Amino acid sequence: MTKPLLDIRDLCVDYVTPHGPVRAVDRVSLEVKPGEILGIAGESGSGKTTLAQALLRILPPPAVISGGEVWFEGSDILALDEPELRAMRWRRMSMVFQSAMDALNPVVTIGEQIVDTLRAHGGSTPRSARARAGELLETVGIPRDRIDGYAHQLSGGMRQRVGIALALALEPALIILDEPITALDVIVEREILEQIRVLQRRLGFAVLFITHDLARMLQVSDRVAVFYAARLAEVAPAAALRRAPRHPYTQGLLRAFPTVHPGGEEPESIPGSPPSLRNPPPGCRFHPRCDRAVDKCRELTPELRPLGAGHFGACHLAE
Amino acid sequence: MRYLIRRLGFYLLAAWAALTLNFFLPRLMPGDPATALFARFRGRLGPEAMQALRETFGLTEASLVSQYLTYLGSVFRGDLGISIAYFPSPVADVIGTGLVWTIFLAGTALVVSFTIGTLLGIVAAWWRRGWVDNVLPSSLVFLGAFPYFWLAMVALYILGFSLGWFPLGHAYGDDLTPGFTAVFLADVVRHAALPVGTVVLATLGGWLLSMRNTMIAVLGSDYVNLARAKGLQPSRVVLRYAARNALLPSVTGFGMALGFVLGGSLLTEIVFSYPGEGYLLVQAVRNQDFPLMQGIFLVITLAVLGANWLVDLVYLWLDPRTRDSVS
Ligand SMILES: Nc1ncnc2c1ncn2[C@@H]1O[C@H](COP(=O)(O)OP(=O)(O)OP(=O)(O)O)[C@@H](O)[C@H]1O
Ligand SMILES: [Mg+2]
Repeated sequence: MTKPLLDIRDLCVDYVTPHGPVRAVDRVSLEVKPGEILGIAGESGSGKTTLAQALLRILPPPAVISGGEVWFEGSDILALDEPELRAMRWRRMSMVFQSAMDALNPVVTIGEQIVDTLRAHGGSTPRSARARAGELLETVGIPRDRIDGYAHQLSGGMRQRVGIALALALEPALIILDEPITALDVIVEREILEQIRVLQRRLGFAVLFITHDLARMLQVSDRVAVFYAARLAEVAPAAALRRAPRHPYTQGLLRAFPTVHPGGEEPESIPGSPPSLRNPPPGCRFHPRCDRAVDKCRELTPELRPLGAGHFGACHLAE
Repeated sequence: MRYLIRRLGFYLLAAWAALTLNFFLPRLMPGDPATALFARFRGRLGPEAMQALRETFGLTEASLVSQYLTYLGSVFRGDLGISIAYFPSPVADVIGTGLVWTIFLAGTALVVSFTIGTLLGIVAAWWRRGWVDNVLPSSLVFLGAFPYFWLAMVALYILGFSLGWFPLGHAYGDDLTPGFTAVFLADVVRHAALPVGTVVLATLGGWLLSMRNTMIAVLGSDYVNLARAKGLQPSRVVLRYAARNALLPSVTGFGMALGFVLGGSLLTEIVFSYPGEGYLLVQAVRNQDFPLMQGIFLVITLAVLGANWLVDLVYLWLDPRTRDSVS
C-alpha cells in the first residue's frame, strides 16, 4: 500500500464563542494518497471549509485546533512553526477558495498576485515570474493580456480560474478545491471540472475536492468522504459509494440527487435539517432524521469502522 | 479621463458659484453697503482707504452687470482689493503671508497626525489586543474628547509659560529676519512644535481608530487569508494586502480634513497667536475689514474644492475599481 500523502488523525477544531466552544470538526481521520482525488461531501455548515483551512493552518479566529494530528509529507503540520509553515504553504499544499469573488485582492493586479506567490518561494526573477504567471493564466484558459487586469474586471468564472491558476503556480503535491463550482453555471462548471481533471492527470497532484453536489463529486473523485454535522459518516471508493452506500445519510443524499440514477425515481430530499453544532443531538447525530433509528442510535456515538474493501461507515446498523 | 474632466467641470462650476455669492453677499446687506461702511469708518479712514473700499466692492455708479464683470476680472488677476486692517496692503498679499503659515502649520499637523495615526492603526489591528491596541485607542480618544481650546491652553501654560520649553506664540522670534537660514528654520520649527503637537494629539485618536477598525475588517477577508495561505511574508500580507485596502476610507477622511485645513486651524492660531489665516480672520472681524474677510472666505472655499479634486485624483490612483466604473 502506498504511503498516504496526507494523514489526518482525530482532528478536532472548535470555534470558541462567548457561549462556549462549537466543535466544527469532530475527531476526523482521513487519508489522501499521492495523486488521488478525494471528494468531501456534506451539507452547508457541516465543517468542510473549517477542515480545509485547518490543513493549511489558516483558520481565522475564533477557530482553534483542539486536538489531533495532521501528517503531511512526513511532518505534523500542527507542530510546525511560522517559517516552516510559510515554506509548506502553497509550495506543497495550495487551495482554491470557496468564494472566488472575495479571494482576490481588489487593488492589486492579478499578475502581481501570482508573481508575489512565485517570488515568495524563491528562485525566480521578476521577469521569469511574470512569464510564468502569463503561462499559468493561459493554462486555465484566460488570455495572457489579462495579467495586468484587476479582479473586478473578470467574471465569476474567470476569477475562479485565476484561483485555480494560482493554486497550480508552484505545482504542489496537494490542492484543496473548496466548492470550486458552486457559484458557476452548469457549462462553466463542467469546463472547469474538465480542466482540473486534465491538469491533474498531467501534473499528478492530489486533490481534496469539497462540494455539496454529491453527483458531480462521484463523477470526479476516486474516493469520497461524507460529512455530517462535523463528523465523518462514511468514507468509500466513489464506485462503491454509488453502488452500495451504507450510511442512511449517504443513501438519503444519493436519493436527493436524481442525476446519480439516470431515469430513476424522483429526487427525494432528506426530511428535517442538519443539527446545530452548538447543541448536537446525543448518540448518532443523524438519528433525528433517520427512519431506521433504534434506541442504541440515540444513546451511543457510532465510531467509523471498516465495512469492506476501503469502505468505512459510522452507523450502528451497517454490517 | 472623461470622469476627471467631468469632475473638474463640477469644481469649476462650484468655484464660480462661490465667486458669485461672494459678489452678491455685501450687496444683500440691508441698506446701501457703501453708505453703511462709509458711515462706520468716517473719521477713522483717510480718503485713499475710502476709495480702496469703494473699488473693492465695485460700488460705483456702473450697472450691476458691469460691476460683476469688473469683479470677476479683478479676482482673476488676483486682485482682491485693499485691506483695511492692514492698510494699505492689498488683501491678496495679506492672505498670501497668512496662507503660507497656515498651510505649514495645519498641513504639517494633518500629515503627521494622519501618518502616525494610520501606522498605529495598522499595528493595533495586526497585534490585536496587544499593548498598542489596549492602551492607545482609549487614551487618545479620551484626550480627543477634551475641547481642543482647553487642551491647547493647558499645553501652552505648562510647557510654554511654566516650564518655558517652548515660545508662547508667533511663527518665529521677533529678532530674526525671515530667510532660508538654519537659525531661522530651527526657530520656525520651535515655534510650530506646540501648536502642531496639540493638534496632532487631539486628532491622532480619530485616524488610529478609523484605520484600526477598517483594518480588522479587512484582515478577516478572504483575500488576506489567501495571502497568508500563499506563504507570503507577514509584512507583505499586512501592507500590500490588508493595509493597502484598509487605507481607502482613511484617504477620503484625509481629503476632507485637507479641505478644512484653512478654516479649521482658527482655534490653534488664536491660542498660539500664530499669524495664519485664522488669526487674520479674527483681525478682519475685529477691524470690520470686509475686503479681507471676503478674500479669506473665497480662499477657504477654493481650498476645499481643490482638496476634493486632489482626493478624486488620489482615489483613482489607489482604487482601480473607480478607474473602470467611471471611464
Ligand atoms: N466564526 C464562527 N463562530 C462560530 N461558529 C462558526 C464560525 N464560523 C463557522 N462556524 C460554524 O462552523 C461550522 C462549519 O462551518 P464551515 O464553513 O466549515 O462549513 P462548510 O461545510 O464549509 O459549509 P458551506 O458548505 O456552507 O461552505 C458551521 O456550522 C458554522 O456554524
Ligand atoms: Mg464552506
